[in-house]
Amino acid sequence: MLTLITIAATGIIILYTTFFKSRKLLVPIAITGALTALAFNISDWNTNQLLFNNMMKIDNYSVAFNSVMILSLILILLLSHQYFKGVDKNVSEIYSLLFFSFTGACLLTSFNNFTMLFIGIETMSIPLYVLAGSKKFSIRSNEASFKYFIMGSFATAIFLLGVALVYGVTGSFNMSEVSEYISATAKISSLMKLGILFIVISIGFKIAAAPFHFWAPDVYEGSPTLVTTYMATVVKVAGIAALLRLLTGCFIGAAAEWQHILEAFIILSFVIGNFGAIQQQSVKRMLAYSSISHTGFMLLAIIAINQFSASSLLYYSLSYSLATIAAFAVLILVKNYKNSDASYESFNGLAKHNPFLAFVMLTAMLSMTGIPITAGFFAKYYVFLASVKSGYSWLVICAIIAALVGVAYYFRIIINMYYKESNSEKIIKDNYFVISLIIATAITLAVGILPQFIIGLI
Amino acid sequence: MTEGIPLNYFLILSTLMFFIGIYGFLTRRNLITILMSVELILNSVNINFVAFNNYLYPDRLQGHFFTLFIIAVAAAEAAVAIAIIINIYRNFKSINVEDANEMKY
Amino acid sequence: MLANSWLVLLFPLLGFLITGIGYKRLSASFCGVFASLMVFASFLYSLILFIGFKNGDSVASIVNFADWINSEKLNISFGFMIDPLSLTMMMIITGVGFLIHVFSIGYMHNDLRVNTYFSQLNLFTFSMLLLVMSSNYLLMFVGWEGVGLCSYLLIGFWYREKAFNNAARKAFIINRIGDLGFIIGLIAMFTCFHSLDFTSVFTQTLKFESGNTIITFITLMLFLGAIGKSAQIPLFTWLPDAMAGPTPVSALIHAATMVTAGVYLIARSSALFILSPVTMNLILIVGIATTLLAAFIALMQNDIKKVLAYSTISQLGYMFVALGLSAFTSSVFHLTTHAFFKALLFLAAGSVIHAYKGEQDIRKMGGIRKTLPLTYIVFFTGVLAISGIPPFSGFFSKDEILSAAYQSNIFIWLLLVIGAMLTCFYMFRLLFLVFHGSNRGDTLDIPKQKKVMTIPLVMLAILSFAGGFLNIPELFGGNFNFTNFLKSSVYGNFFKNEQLHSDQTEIILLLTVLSLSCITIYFAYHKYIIKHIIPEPDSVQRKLIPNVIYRKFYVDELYYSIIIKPYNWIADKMLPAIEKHFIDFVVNSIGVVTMAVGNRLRLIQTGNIGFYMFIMVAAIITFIAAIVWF
Repeated sequence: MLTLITIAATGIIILYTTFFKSRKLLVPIAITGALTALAFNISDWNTNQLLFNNMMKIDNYSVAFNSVMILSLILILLLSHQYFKGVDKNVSEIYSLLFFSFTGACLLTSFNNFTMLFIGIETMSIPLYVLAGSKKFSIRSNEASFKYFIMGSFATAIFLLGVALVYGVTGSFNMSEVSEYISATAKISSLMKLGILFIVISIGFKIAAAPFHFWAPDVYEGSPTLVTTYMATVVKVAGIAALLRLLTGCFIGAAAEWQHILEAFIILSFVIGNFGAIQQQSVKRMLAYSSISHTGFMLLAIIAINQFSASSLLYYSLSYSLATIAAFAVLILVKNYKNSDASYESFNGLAKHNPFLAFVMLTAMLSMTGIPITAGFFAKYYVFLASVKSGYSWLVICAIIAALVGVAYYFRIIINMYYKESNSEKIIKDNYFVISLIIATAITLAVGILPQFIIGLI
Repeated sequence: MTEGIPLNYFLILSTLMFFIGIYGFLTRRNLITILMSVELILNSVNINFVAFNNYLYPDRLQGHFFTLFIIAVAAAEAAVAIAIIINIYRNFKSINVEDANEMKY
Repeated sequence: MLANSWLVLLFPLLGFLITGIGYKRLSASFCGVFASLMVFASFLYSLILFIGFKNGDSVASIVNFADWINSEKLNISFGFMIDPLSLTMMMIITGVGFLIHVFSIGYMHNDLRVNTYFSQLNLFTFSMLLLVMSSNYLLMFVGWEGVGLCSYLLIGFWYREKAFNNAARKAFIINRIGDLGFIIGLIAMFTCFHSLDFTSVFTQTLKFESGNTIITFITLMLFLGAIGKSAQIPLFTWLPDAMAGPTPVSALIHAATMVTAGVYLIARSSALFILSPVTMNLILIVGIATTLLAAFIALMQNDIKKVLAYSTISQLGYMFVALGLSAFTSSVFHLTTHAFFKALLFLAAGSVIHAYKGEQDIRKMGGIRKTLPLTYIVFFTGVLAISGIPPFSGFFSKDEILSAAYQSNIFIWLLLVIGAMLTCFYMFRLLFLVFHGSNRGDTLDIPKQKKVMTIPLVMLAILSFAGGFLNIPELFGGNFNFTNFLKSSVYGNFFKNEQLHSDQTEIILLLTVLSLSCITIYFAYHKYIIKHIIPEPDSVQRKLIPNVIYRKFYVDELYYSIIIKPYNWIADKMLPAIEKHFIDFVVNSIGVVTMAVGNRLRLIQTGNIGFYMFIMVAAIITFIAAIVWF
């Protein structure tokens, strides 16, 4: 509760800092707000509260996912100082929009009612439409913004139709009441099935699961890179956490219905994500496609729907978020330095003059591939374990093949960084940036060596 | 007030509106028209909610309130959409969706 | 106190991280001192733990630091086993390690990469401590590989010399063979016991009978690992080459600690090994063969460090003999005293090499006892200790092993006595050639020896002299302190000579060995002091048997012709046939196909939002159709 208020309040405070014309204060205020929220959030551990007439439920699940998301937010904020250096106008608005959007993300992990789910999705998305277009004079940014908006509002409409159908059948928006209704009725009516289908599809859209991924590559590429980072991490984690919460808390009785939908999502995500990524010339677009493939891996934890789902999903979210942030951070630097479109070639010879950056990128790529001692290895391992337990061995085999294909495009960057020559020089980065990179890499390695710290939490 | 009209009529109306919206969504190339189609879909869902609430669960008002939320959110969305469309017009000198395909493959 | 035993590991790890990360910015003197202090801190903590044990305040226990791997069947913890055996090893590693760190400050001060050196040395200390402290085999394996890596790095420390790199690679590759055995052993162990925890495995062994096939297999595989690490026949050839590293490294890694990891492994797994007479006999045979072979080779070597290397192999052979006789405590005792005197000998040799500006050929040395009196004294101490002259430490530990051998079989005893005589001969040969006679070196410019180099030498000399008093046999009024301390950690029958043969036999045996040793020493004296014989240069044509010994029994050449050559031949034939036409083709085709599919598939992303919407609606309709259909 206090977490939510702190986040929203920080957004408003930042909005008002425009009056002081002090750019220096922005990042410290934002980070203080995020850290306070993190502290409040952790203090909710093991409290299990029901708020607003059972509309929200704060439990360990929501606290854990909130923590991962706030951590990502802090790391992104640390990156922002250098990123917005060249921007003169309205920077504080970008920050406050980030925070407003984050309020929605927090709702998504702790909703207990479809109303809250809806408000959460919309609060998260609407600021994002603006953020995607926040480079006002860039054609690509504009295009990203409107593509995201059009497809996003379509998804919202589909979602609402689904909720309407579920409401028509059950007469309630409350998750536990719907869940009781489903378990009480012997045969699930086709209206209910359609409702579940629409809701799952619309959340699948938000997390960019194929075949509802089409917005992702274009929007990721066109948006300002920092916003892309936010979309790829916080938004995706919030969406996937919401999906698992919804499916376990509400539609668990109809598992047979939605598991087939998810199977299709997973297979298509692997195919589209991997084959799309493999031929890209732009690293940013490659990361967009790879995030689709990562959605497939995360859905693997959800489809299993057993006692390992939540913890393996949490672990995967953490490792994926950290690796993505690190990768995008290095991309931001390289892109700005080379003033290029962030192709693979701009990474050539990075290791020679920027060994630190190269190492960060190396760790991130290894983690995304799933090579041991980085967090990505155990992330994949636990997700596979969860789905094998539920009898999805064939999906796990597909996932392993997908992971193998992933080596092709992740290692291409590593090869370019370490084995290709170029005349690049040392890239300047400010202290916030370095701190963010160090935190992301250190946690990736630490959690990769001692996964028990995370996996035992929930 | 609604006594003479069966629930099915409302559902048929909302379904019709929904598919008109979808049709507009798929066929129109003008951003404003697309925005209107989205509003049409949202309103069809609103009708659904209100009708379900009134006929099936008249003792509780949840559906009505959900509708209010949808209207509020739709207004916010429309505001953002108009802003985006104006910006698009400034950059592309057009609000035809097919003109904006800078990024692909 | 015990719960915080991870601190022992933390200090060297910190040292590694700080000196390793800051190697470019930190000053060389700081790194040396800091690294040494970290090891010293570990030593102090081990000492505190040890005193706790000695006073009976604490008992052998498992300290679980954190969970590491937790899946349904495989549960591995970051746990430490603190018991007399691991404490002994910890004391040796940190104690001797600290002295060698300090010596290195002086020895390496001119080197450009001294900071890297210290960080690697600290990493080695960390890995070695992890090896001996872990409470399960998998964590032990992590340490096992860690020391292997550090050994590789430090052998090839002067990586600009191609020969040194090759030596490092050789050590690494030969160790791989042993490691493979270790891994197979672990897998077999896991399938058999469903656990890799020491306590769990050892309690389960009670259910097995002696001679069980699975246990025999497991122990054979573990023994293969030990052979690789501890340089026994047939995998010993890497150790002499490993002398390419800096001399303090040879002292720490290739004499005092890492090479004894194999001994530790077997002593730790004594519960398993005593169930397999086959393996025990094999250990015994390998131990004896290695002792004698290495001792013979050492007779003819002319490189000061190579002599010491072969002597190390030979002494490790003694330890394996003790293990094979299930005299585990005697083996660990010899390990301890050997760590003292062999570290001392290496460091003293390092001083000599330092004085000769890198010259290692003993034919080009001589008579430097006058210029390096202190080094001479400590080296002499070391030689006396390794030769088993009372009351130096080697006497006690070697005597224990000899008695155990006598108890078992007089023939084994005889072979070991021959080994002891050979040891006396080559060690005194080394002493006489290096320190006595006239100087044959080219230039000899002796700088004043620094305190950081002399003090560790003196400390080690004191330990080499007095180390034997840890475990005075009852014959001399002692009470086997060391054995009694260790007894709780190992299984099997302990060395108790009073039951089998009387004091009289014991004394007769002792005197026999002693007099034989003295005669050998006199031979050496006669040959190298009185007759001033200098070993012949390489070019001289030797007679058959000396030539075979001089060429190290052609073991390297043998391996070359029976393994490397056929391997190369097969590889040459395979390259075009299998690699190029089959594997490459398959792999490349997969790549080409994937790329082509990727190229087609990404065309779906047309950039046209109308098309996207169309596909999305089509997908939704397909899903609805599927739901209605099923």
